[in-house]
Amino acid sequence: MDILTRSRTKSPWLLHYSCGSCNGCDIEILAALTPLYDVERFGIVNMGNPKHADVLLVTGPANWRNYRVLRNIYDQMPEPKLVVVVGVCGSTGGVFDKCPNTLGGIDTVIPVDVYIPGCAARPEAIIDGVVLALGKLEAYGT
Amino acid sequence: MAEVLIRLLILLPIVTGSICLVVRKSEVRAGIVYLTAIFLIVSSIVLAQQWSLPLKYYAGPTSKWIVLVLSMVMLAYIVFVAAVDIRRRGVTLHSVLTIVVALAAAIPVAVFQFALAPEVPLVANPALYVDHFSLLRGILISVTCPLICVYAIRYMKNHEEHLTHLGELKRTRQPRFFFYMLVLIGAMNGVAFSDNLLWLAFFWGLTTLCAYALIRHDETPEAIAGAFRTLWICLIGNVGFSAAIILSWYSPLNTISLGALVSNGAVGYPVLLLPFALLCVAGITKAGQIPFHGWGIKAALVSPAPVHAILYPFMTTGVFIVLYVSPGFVGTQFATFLAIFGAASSLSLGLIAISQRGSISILVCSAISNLALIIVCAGIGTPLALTAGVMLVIFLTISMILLYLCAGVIEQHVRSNDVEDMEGLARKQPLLTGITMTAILSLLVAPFGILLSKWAAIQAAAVIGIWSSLVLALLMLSIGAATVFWAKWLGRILCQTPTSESARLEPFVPHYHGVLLTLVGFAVLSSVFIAPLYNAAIVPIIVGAGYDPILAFTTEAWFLRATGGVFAGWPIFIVVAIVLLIPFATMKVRPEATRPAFMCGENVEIGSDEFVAVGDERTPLMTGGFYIEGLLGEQRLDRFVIPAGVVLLGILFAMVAL
Amino acid sequence: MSSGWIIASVIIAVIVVPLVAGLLSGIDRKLTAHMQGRIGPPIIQPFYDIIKLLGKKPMVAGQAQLVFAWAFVGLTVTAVVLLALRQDLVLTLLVFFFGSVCLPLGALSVKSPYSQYGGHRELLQLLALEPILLLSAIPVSLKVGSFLIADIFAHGQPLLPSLWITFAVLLIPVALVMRKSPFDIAGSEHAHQELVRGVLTEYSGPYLALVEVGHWYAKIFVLSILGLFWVVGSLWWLSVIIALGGWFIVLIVDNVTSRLTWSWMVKFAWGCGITLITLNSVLIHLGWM
Repeated sequence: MDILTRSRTKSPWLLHYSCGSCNGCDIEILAALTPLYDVERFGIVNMGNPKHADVLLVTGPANWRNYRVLRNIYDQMPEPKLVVVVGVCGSTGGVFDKCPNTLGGIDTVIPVDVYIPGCAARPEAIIDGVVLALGKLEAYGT
Repeated sequence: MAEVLIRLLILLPIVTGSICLVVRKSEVRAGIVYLTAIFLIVSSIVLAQQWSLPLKYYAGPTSKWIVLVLSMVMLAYIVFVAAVDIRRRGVTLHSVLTIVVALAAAIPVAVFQFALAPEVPLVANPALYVDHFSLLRGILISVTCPLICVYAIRYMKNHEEHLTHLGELKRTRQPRFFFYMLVLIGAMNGVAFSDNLLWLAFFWGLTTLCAYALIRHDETPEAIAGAFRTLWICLIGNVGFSAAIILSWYSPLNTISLGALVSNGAVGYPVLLLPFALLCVAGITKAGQIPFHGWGIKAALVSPAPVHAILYPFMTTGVFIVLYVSPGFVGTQFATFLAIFGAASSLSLGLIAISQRGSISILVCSAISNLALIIVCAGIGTPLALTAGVMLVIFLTISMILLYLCAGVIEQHVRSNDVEDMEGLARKQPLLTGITMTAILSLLVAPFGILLSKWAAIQAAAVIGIWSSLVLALLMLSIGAATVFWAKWLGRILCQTPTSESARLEPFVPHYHGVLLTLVGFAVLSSVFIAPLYNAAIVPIIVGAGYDPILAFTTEAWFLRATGGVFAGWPIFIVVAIVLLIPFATMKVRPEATRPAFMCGENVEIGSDEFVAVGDERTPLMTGGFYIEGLLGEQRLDRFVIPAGVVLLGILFAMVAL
Repeated sequence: MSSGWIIASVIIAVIVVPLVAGLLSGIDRKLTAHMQGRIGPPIIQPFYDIIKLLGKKPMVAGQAQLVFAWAFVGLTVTAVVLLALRQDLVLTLLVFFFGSVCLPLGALSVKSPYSQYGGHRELLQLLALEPILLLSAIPVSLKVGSFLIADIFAHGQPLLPSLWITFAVLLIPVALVMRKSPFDIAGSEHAHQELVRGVLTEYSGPYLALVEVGHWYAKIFVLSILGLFWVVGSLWWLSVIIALGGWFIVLIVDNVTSRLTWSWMVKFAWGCGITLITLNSVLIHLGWM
């Protein structure tokens, strides 16, 4: 593995965006970021800004109110970037599936790399999902 | 030849100004201004090569009476103006004070000259005495101020077109405007060159009168009030002069020659300390130092930009006198407290500047704050401090005038002098923005001349004993404050919405951009070539003041070496060119790499600064600067600054009495 | 100073400094993690971050932003080089401030709400930092008799015993340059940050890396100034220990006071910092220190 790819996999900076989830998954994401799980071990740092982020964590289903915002945030992340969907709503639409105000899963708006199922997803699963996504960076090249 | 030129530098602008007063055709008037400007600049260049100094000019016996009568006529005119104002607008504090102060200035000298001592010989002392320092000052005035006048030709035309359009102006006021501008140049040269205190007082008063007339140029009620405030505050200086004339005549020296006072000094003749203190107060009032800073800030709100630009050298005249007489009181407690006074003034105005929104107001505050540093240098009084003071006079004159003129062009462009309204100037006027940025940087950062001078002042202040701790603490805080207000302004004009379109240069206006670029050239070149400039222009001044220039700087590979440090200027200029100049000229932004600003994903589209707000409404993004008015507002700070200024002035006079 | 020594100093200043600073910042993160009962990232984590950022696709919001990022790094490096060449302390500081003011200028050149806020707060940070750093040169010069850093080296006596007050006050600018406290300006990788990293908001990818490296130089610059308080002959490691000691104190103070705000910072720096350094100068003048 060359130094750049190694650095990429060692330093994933997260951005968390909630598309209107029930907050269950959001709470689990924050739980994963607490000292208990110490994700900084993996170089994971939480960012508030898409321009600094490498991994976009999305919760909740894509819906007509905010798909525009989701797309904008995604566009503002510099390449290479990864999208990890947390929870079943974001993955498929979940209990909101076929609701008139939703579009379904996040992949109806932006390309998704990893789906983490669960209602809500556990912190361990979230960390696993992010680490799994990092494997995709090896294919990105320099 | 040189003597003729010196006299012409004073008289010619006054004469051509008077011609402007009667000329009605604007083209002819412009021609006269051009010719005067060319004459002044060319004779400055000729005089710069004149090193057989000092030059002395002895006036004939009748000239004393001419000057006396002119002084009396001038003061009577001021009383008349105030009386007219009282009749027209009713009794106001400022006009009453004007009458009181003018009478206080006129009566003692009249009594003294006409009754007590009509035999005071003017003939024995030179009327004009040109040494290296006054020549440098004269050259600075005669090169920069004509540029202001050239700029004003275009500026006043636009200004009056705008006023006529608004229906506020019926008949052009430009003849009067150029009359006072040119007379002011002559009078400032007169202050620089005069040696006889009577002559000095006359020219001093004349500059005040011109400043008054220029400030009230627009004839709005605010302008008139501001003008009267300026008039009476600056006339306090003339009261000081009158007292100084009488005191120094009755001192053992029996002279009213400034040169004689300075060369004998207060250490040998303690009785001279009071006249020196009075001259310093004259300088302090004219330079708008605390507690008199009100006139500068109020005047900033009312008059056209060229007036402010020329008020800057006008204010410098004040500190020039303080610095000029400083070798006379070096080593006294008075000098130490003068340094503390200057440092306190510098910090106060630096802090007030942070809360100012108007570009001219910021400039006035920073001008006063910087001029206070020259007073600090005068108080420290070592050869290095004198050097720092002279350098500040040079560099500040160039950079401050440049910035005032920039502010004027910006104001005409955005029709406001609020810094907040200048947002995005970088896109609309890239050339002007570049010029303004250079001007601000020349005031803000090393290795430009002004920071070099501040560096020298720090080096000089560090060795003057226990009070230096206080002076330096105030000085450093004032440098910190300057960073905030300059960078804030610069930030506003640079601020623009991200876009891939590159800005196109605005059309080149010779009266504006030509003048501005000339001044930028002066500012940058004088900073880069400071070592040769120091050897050629400043060393003779240090020698003239009776010091050994080795105690100031030695130059070595164009580094300035003081006893306590080395200023390696030009290598840093190379770095600045590499990291700022070249990137600005060559760096390109690729369109595909351009992204809009981060607005939580609510951006409307690329290249727009709107965001989607409540109810899907497109709302323009508004950004603005920090002004911290609650903490640093002028009114709030004035509650502390004015008493502090009064107390410090009181301490200064207490030091004289001790 | 011989030309060989000059070249060696420049090379050390330009190349070795970021390596040391990166490691230091890694150790900082590790120590902080341990203080919070965590394991923390590997010590070379900052280098991973920088290399990753350098490998990202560039994204910009205007030319001025890039130019000022360059100027920030270039001038900060120049300040470090001047320090290494043992030039004038005040001049070195002035050049450092020129670099420091470029960062907020870059932020202010973008019409972005967070960037504007961050830029202005950064200016207020400079308002706190500049006078303290500049004023700290005064007691030093009173002891040494010169502002030349070379003369501090030639002085032969450690400065710390007589200048410990100044040393203590200098920890304020160290904390500020490390960008950890106050939290409403901070741009470090720690949790306490506001305004989506303020001045850094509109920088991304390689340009963020550039600014980050500039910060590394700045960090080493202020730590070296701490080190100047104990330079005696060949015992150079003592000054390193002094600098690291100051750094460690800042680390602890930062970890126990995570909610400091900018207005507190300015008042504290002006009220306490300036007064104490002035007191130090006065005591030296009186011959008591």
